[in-house]
Amino acid sequence: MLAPLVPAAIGPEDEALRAEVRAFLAERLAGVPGARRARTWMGFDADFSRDLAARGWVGLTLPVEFGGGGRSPFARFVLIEELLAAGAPVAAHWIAERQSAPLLLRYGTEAQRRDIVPRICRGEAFFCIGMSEPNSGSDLASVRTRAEQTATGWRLNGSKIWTTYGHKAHYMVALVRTSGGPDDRQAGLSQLLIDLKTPGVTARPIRDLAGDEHFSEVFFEDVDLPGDALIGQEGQGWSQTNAELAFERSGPERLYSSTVLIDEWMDFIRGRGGPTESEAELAGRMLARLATLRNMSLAVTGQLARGESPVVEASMVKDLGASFEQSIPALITDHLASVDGPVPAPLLATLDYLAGMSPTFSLRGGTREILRGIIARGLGLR
Amino acid sequence: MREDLFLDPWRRLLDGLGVDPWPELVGSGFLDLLRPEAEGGAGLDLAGLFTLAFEVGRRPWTPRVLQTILARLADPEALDCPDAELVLVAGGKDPVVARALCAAIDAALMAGAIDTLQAVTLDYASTRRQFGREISKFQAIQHQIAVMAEEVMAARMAAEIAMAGPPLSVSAEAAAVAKMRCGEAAMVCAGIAHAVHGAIGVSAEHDLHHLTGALHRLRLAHGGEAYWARKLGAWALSRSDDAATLVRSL
Ligand SMILES: Cc1cc2nc3c(=O)[nH]c(=O)nc-3n(C[C@H](O)[C@H](O)[C@H](O)COP(=O)(O)OP(=O)(O)OC[C@H]3O[C@@H](n4cnc5c(N)ncnc54)[C@H](O)[C@@H]3O)c2cc1C
Repeated sequence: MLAPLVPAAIGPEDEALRAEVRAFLAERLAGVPGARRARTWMGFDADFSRDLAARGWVGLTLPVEFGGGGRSPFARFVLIEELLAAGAPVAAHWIAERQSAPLLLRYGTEAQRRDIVPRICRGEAFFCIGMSEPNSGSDLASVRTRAEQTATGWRLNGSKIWTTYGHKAHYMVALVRTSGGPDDRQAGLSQLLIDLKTPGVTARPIRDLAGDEHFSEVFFEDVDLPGDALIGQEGQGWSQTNAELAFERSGPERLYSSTVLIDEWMDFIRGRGGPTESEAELAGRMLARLATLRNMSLAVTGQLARGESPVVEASMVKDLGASFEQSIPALITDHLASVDGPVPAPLLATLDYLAGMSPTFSLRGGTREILRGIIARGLGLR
Repeated sequence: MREDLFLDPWRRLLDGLGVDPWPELVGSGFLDLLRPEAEGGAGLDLAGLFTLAFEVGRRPWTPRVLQTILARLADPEALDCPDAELVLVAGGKDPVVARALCAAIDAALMAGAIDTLQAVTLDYASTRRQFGREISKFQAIQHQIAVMAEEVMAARMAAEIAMAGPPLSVSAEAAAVAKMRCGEAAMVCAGIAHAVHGAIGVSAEHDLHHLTGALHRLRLAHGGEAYWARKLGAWALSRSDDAATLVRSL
């Protein structure tokens, strides 16, 4: 059995950040409709990311000597909780600051750390994640994109798919095969840093069911990369990728994707006078689940702050959080379908967007089944 | 930490209780944990009581010690109390607080009971063999137990957060979150535990029904999920804050 999560609280110096962030967001997001805000970390706005960076809010926990804020994970929790709950368009810098910068700091060359990480913190270098391929989704170790060693570095061939903002990012961190064959599975995989301006790289956006173009297909045709494109060690890509996924899975991203909808719905109910019993009950059920998830997410942040690597706990919070977020559109649809009289069009637009996209909440970053497999392993069942 | 000081003696006491437990419990002094130090109690707050309540929850066959500890806030002589809410209200305590306090304790007991439920389910899944292997090797079983583990963590978190401050200042909203969330977790976990156990789990001899039975009774006591969700929702909808702000204040 797993050790219980230890409740954690945000200290006053980190909590102090909140008012400032809220004031900034209230001004910047005034008048942005809910359906747009519901896109949150799928919404790309480079200017917005740079404005955040100008305030020191990109790379908050990264070391000061690399351009970061040197703050605690709890300060970052406050910041991203506010960004997500408000539905700020943070996609441009999100991946770079959340996982690429920590990855480079841990495994990158001194030159990469000195050159790229400060640019990430300034909101000038955006990253994408090159893991999935057309025939390699959950079975990530089966990737076929391949880099061969050359006299000057690496020559890359293959393609990636579902790459969030692969067509807008400056760099990709890709998991590719550098030795052996498909039968070698995890062995022979490496992580490469790819400057997406390199000749031979093309990216084609893929339209989603809501009409948005966030993910893309990225092709590599005889792409020549320098020797230091290799991140960390040759053949260590699998374990490095898992360390990277731990950063991806441990934040409060998996709690707040539907809060814009909850807020619009609660405002609608408030505007209709006193809530009925069933309306109060629905609000209460949603909030009790959200409050508990937030405390769990904070506890995972506490583990990170203590230098632990809460892979299993983060997977649990992500799985539970994704199920929660996914349940919201259906619960609210159920209620709205019982209401006599008109429902505001903006509320319906937000609902429509989230009802369509919520299935992705348990796909991106590892599917529900993959996460439950990680948890089962953590419990000693496999 | 006072609670750590109490935890081991408390476990030993619970595990050693005989057929006539009450004289021993009175003698132990534990029944007066919450009463003020000036009146011979230990003046423990709810945070200190949480792990002790959780341990009782893990042993659902334990006599009604928690109800008695709560009742003694109003009636120092209370023993084997079936429902502290009635005693607290009769003793002049605020009925809203009395109910919230009892609900918070129920939640801690439920969190403990599903913790044991998880332990016995893990143990059973790793020993029972079908099709030539332990049933824990089947992915469908693994995933059900993974869900159970999530619920166990969520329930404990919700219950622990509500147990803060002096007992009679318990937050009704935090208690609502705790009772609601633990009730939900109890339903999910009881279902999974029985499913994984198969027929043996519904035999009278097997311990499982003590655990799931306790969970069903605790769900019913002092307001269930719908009751507390309505209270919490009415509170939330009477304010103008957004969801993120509301949950932060819980
Ligand atoms: C919005 C969005 C953004 C994304 N962004 C990125 C990105 O930036 N970079 C990137 O690399 N990828 C990205 N992805 C891809 C994502 O990581 C994959 O969708 C995910 O890993 C699953 O792969 P798949 O879609 O090929 O599904 P599959 O792996 O084919 O899975 C289909 C179904 O089979 C189940 N399944 C598969 N294997 C098993 C098993 N062993 N046991 C039980 N069930 C199993 C899955 O759980 C799922 O239910 C994104 C996806 C989405 C939806």
